Amino acid sequence: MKNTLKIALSLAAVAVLSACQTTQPAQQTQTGQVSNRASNAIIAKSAYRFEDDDIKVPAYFDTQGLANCTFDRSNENDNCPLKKPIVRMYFSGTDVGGEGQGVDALREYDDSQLLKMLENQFAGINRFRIVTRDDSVISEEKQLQLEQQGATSVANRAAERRVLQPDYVVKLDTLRTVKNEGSITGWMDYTLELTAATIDPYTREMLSYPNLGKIRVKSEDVRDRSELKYVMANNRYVSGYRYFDSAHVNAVINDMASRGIDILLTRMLSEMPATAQVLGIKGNQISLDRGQNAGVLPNETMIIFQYSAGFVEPIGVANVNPSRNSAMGEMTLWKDSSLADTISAQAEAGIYRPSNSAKIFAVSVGTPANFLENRT
Amino acid sequence: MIKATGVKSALLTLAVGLPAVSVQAQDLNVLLNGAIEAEHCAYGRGASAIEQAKTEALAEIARAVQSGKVLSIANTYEQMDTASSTWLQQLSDMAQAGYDMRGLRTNTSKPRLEGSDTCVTVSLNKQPLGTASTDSGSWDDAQTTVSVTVVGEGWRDDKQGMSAREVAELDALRRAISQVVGVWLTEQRTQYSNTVSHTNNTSDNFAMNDFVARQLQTKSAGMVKQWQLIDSKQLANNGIEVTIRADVEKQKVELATSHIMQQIGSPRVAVAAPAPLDSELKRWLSQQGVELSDNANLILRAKPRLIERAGTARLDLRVQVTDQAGNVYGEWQNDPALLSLPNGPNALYDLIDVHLALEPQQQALSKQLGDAFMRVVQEGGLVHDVYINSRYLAQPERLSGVLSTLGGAQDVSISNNGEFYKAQLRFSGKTGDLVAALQQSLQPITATELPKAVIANEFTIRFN
Repeated sequence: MKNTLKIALSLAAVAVLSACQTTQPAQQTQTGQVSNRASNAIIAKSAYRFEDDDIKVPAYFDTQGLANCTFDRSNENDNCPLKKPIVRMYFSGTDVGGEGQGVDALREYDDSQLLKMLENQFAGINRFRIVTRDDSVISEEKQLQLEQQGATSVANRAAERRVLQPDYVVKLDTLRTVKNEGSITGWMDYTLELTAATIDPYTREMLSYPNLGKIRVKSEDVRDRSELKYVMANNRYVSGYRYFDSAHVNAVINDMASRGIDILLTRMLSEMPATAQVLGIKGNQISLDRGQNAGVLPNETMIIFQYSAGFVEPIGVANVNPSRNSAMGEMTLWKDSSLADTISAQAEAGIYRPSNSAKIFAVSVGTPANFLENRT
Repeated sequence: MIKATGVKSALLTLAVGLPAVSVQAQDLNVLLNGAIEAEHCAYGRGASAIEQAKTEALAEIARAVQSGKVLSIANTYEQMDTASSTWLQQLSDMAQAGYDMRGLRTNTSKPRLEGSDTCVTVSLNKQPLGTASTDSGSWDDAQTTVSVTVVGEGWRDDKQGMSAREVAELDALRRAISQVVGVWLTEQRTQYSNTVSHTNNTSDNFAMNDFVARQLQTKSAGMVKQWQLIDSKQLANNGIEVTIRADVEKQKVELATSHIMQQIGSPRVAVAAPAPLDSELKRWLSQQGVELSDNANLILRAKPRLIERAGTARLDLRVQVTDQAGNVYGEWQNDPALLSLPNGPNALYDLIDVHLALEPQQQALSKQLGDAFMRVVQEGGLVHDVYINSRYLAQPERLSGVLSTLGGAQDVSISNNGEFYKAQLRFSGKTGDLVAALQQSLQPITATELPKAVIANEFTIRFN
């Protein structure tokens, strides 16, 4: 009996030891595929199509209030959420190297006009204050004013309203490549890769934020492959897409760059969402403390959340439309939670005003659902 | 929201025609302690919206006080104490009698946001009512002298053979004149447009008064009609501090100062600049009241440069005030960043036009000119060249000594090229005076009588 017990104990000990030996190493990583597929725009779902599980607070929300703001554009406090960095934009294209069919035409592509498009598009989303590099229009206008208003008036205005000094440089780098496939009937395949950097021109530091990643646009995103087809005979061009003609190549590359900028904008809006504080809720209507001035766009899908003691608790989703200094929104769905129920009940009975210890904020989900349709 | 404004003096702008803004009238309350409260909202955010709401609230309070509305509101409070109701009554009576309510202290609440509006509550608390008084002093035309009390300090000066007390008294008298000059200059600001810009700020003011006072001291005496010692005390190192009361003759100060101011304000200048800048500058200088002459010793040298970039042009303009000898008295540079225009044949004209049209740049250039003129006077006048044929001089080695003793002349330097002795000296008077003085003082060292002087230009005198 004693022996039996000993054996049993020994077996148990072996079992325990062998169990220790068979423990698997922690699996915290996995192999990922590096994709070279074309990038796509990611936009917010309309607030009217949200479901309860979708109501979560997105990244990069910022609960800073307006208490630090002076509301003086030229002399805004650094801690004010409405203070936007002043930037100048650059579009720099790397040289297309090598020889081959269509390379020369691609090399001739001039991106100076794209820069202006980029400035226009970026100015509209109100995340930066942009100092234009369009010297010709500006100086032409001053010349006209000089003729029409006189030297004194122009001098006084020029002295009063000085050119903004940029805090940062926003630089877009493009990489253009081309390859052709086929023999007698071939087609051109262009790829455009875009990256953006924000640089402090004095310290030369490249800022890590906003990080827009890399955007890849392929010619097939903007043109049907058949449009880029051409026919060769005896190694000479016969008909079809004029790959050697820079005007034709420009048309394709322009479309690709334009698509790239659109994707860039949507990423920018996700990376730098608009945040506002909720001043009050009445029924399903919410009142926000800032609007266009903080970059809130029309039909913005915003998650409404309570911020208390460092924790966020989503309470619903709203469709928001801005006015200049404030914004109004409609709660399209209240979160299924006791907090949301309490607030909604109070808002139903009158105006719910958040307390100082449990403020309520709204953060945009990203690019408004109809932005690409209406603005690009 | 935003920083609390706290208690501060506020202007109760009663009938100010405010721009039509969407300011919504809210409540007006009279509290039991006699405080009057008004709440107002104004469209927008930030200081301007707060200010707008505050101004409206204050105007609302002022209107209510004047019309007696506060009394009718207050009357409904039976429990209000006598002090509070008396204060309201007194305030209302005084407002109706035209009492200036500016300067009454008000409290402004922390602003709060309501939609696109910013709202504040302003309250006028119970406080003693009184009248403010101001005092001012000025140049009284009825009197012939100006009395000033000044302090002077002095230490024994063996070089001049003066005791500490004498030095202190002189110092005090100089300060007395300086003070009176200051009063007079303030009165006369508009008269000397060239030099006005110097006297715009306090430190420049002192520099100017002191400068003129020093010039006056060397040029004339008898500006102080009489003075009396009020107090004196010993300073460290055997120094003395005296306090005196001096009666300064107004008319003499006026005359002498204006003479110096004219000297500073309008010497002649020549313009050395390429076209079209020269004509632009000449036009501008004439407008400033500066006399132009191609032979003037003072030269305004201007260099324009077009900074060209990407089809646009900006102007870099540098101006120097020098004399013929190359001494630089003042420099000025424009702000090239002010404006860029399309680069074309007329860009230079247009840019010069704009830069010279800008008031602050005009003032800066004008100030540089004024400073340069002042420096010329300070350094003892303009440099003159005197050429004397060697055959006239019996004792050329004494030339430097003799010229140094001329009244109003300084910084004498002599050179010789065989045929001529060339003397360079600063002289603060007119060229004619210098010629007369030269002819007289050179006599003892000449071999034969000097011929009649040839005045080649304002600053070159030749005895050929």
